[in-house]
Amino acid sequence: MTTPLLEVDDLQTHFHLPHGTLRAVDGVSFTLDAGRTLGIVGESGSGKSVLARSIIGLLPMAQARRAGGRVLFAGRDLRQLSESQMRQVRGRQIAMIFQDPLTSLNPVMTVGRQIVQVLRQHTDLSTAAAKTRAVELLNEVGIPDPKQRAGEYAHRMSGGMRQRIVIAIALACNPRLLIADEPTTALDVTVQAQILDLLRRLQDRHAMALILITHNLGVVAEMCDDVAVMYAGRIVEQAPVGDILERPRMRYTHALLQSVPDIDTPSHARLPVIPGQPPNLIAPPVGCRFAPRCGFRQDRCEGEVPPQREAGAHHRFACFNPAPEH
Amino acid sequence: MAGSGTAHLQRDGALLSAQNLVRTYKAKGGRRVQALSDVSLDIVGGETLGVVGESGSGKSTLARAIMALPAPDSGAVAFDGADMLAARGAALRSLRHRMQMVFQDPLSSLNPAHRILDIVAMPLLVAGRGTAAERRQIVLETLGRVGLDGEQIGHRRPYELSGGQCQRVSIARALVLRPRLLVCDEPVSALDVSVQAQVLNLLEDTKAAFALTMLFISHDLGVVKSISDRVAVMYLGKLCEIAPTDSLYAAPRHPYTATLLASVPSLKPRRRTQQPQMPRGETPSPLDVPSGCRFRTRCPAATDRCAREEPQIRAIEGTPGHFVACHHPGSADVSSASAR
Repeated sequence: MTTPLLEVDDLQTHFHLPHGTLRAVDGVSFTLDAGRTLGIVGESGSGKSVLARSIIGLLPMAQARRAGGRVLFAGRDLRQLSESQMRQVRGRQIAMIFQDPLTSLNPVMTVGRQIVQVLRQHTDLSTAAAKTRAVELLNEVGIPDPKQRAGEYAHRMSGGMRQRIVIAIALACNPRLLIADEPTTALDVTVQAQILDLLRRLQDRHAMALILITHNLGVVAEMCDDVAVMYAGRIVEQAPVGDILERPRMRYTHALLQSVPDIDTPSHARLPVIPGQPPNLIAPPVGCRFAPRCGFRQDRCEGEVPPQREAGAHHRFACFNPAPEH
Repeated sequence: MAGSGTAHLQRDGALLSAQNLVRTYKAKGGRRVQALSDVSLDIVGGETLGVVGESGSGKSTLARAIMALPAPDSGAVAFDGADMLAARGAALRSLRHRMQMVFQDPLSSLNPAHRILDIVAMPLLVAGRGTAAERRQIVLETLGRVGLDGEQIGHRRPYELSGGQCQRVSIARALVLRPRLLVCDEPVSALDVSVQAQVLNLLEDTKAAFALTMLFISHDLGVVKSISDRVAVMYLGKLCEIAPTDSLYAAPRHPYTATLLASVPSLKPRRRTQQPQMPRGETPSPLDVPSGCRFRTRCPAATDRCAREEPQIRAIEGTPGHFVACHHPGSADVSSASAR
């Protein structure tokens, strides 16, 4: 067995707030092999973005605390690295792109200079060589007329074009892992299709692993090899994408998939709903966190945390009363 | 330009009929943006008409033009037998009471300083209906119909409720005047998937219970399919195609509709197995729209004629109710973007 590129083990990230401790990520474990795509799906507040930021050590608030666990990247525990060591990993080995491409870009610097800056920071290219490389990168991400575009500012570009620029910056140093947090959520559907296609092609060419964070199950179905479903700070089910979509076991995954109006669902079909709201993560339910909303809960679901169970080679889920296997 | 003409308008039975609506906004440097360019459509009593389009297609401008909020620059809107755009003062207000709106962001469309009971009672107060006790009665009953307990949450303020609950409050507020037409502008776009299904089901239920007619605007093709009887597709201020839902999704005739449908990620996993033809380019700036058909710059089927001549909307033979504004509509058996 080869060592995975990334191994996250019992990761916990908490926020110390005036009225209590918010357990945003509460004991998450998964592995990711080189070149693979892992989708992390969940609704707002499930902890998927905090998980991503915990991996690269960019936590959003001063109140955030690394409460435990390990993040092994190529054998090194990223949580033990100093900030200056971490800066060497970020950008060069792990890159991240965010939902809103405009706020990720510097408004007063041409996009070309932003790429040159990254290249100069992380490689020993000369300024002239970095400029040439920047134009190559813009060309690679499908920016028409890349030489001229390199001299322009982000505000002159469309949303799709900006996200291409952000991707070019992320790929500048050939990272081994790209973390994309809702990369297409702010884009129109035709542009989303283009950006997803671009990510797919670049990933193949650079043999890069990808963590794709999204609430859109369709995007997961199109893009991912494996999927982890998050609910209230925990991974409740993880499996290859086909298993998740066709044979979900955990009741939340099952219900979530049913409630999506897909373009292949007949019109006016009654959508099965999940009643209620996700729990408050300051005082989450003691047992299974989905239990209060679950139509299949048993007595012990409310008192005991369901352990991860195996269903086939790479399929794990946490449920006492799972959906039957078909 | 992609889609003018009125061939698709129904002769009778329309609760609302909008004809040749034009709405122009001023932009910097004396330039003008035509957000809505000669759009006509009608809504039959009792149906749900879905409107889909990407950003800048004019779908929200259309909703506002229909309600005269603000009125379009030109065109005509007939609602419930009255001329919406000629009406003034009390007559216009009374027409608007019969058409109510639900907005995208449930939190910002509710006054944060007001209690839920007062928010839902506001339309009744403005319309001068009933005594305080009668209004309270209607409000509590309507909140009950959207699945909220007014006694329990009525004294709270919007920020104390979840997004889904706020959207239920918005729907209750739209219903207290017992309107005939409900205009929903992206009502579930800000909600999580599990809550989105609750609100979609609620809209279907209230539509049946209150005998409503609905105009439902969304960028999400799955959501629009689930709720609509007919669907209109808009692009850059123009109507491209309008058809019964099943007909449109099974056999889109406008190359833009086909491109849109092919772009939606589906739950059927198809990574690396099937590469749909990629949509070309991005929507051009509304300040500088292409001549002729506005979609031609991205269209796989475009010819010289598309640059010269704006296609007029026309009926598709053999599929009743299906209309398209295209010189080279795809054939019925082609349902992908690769339409010739």
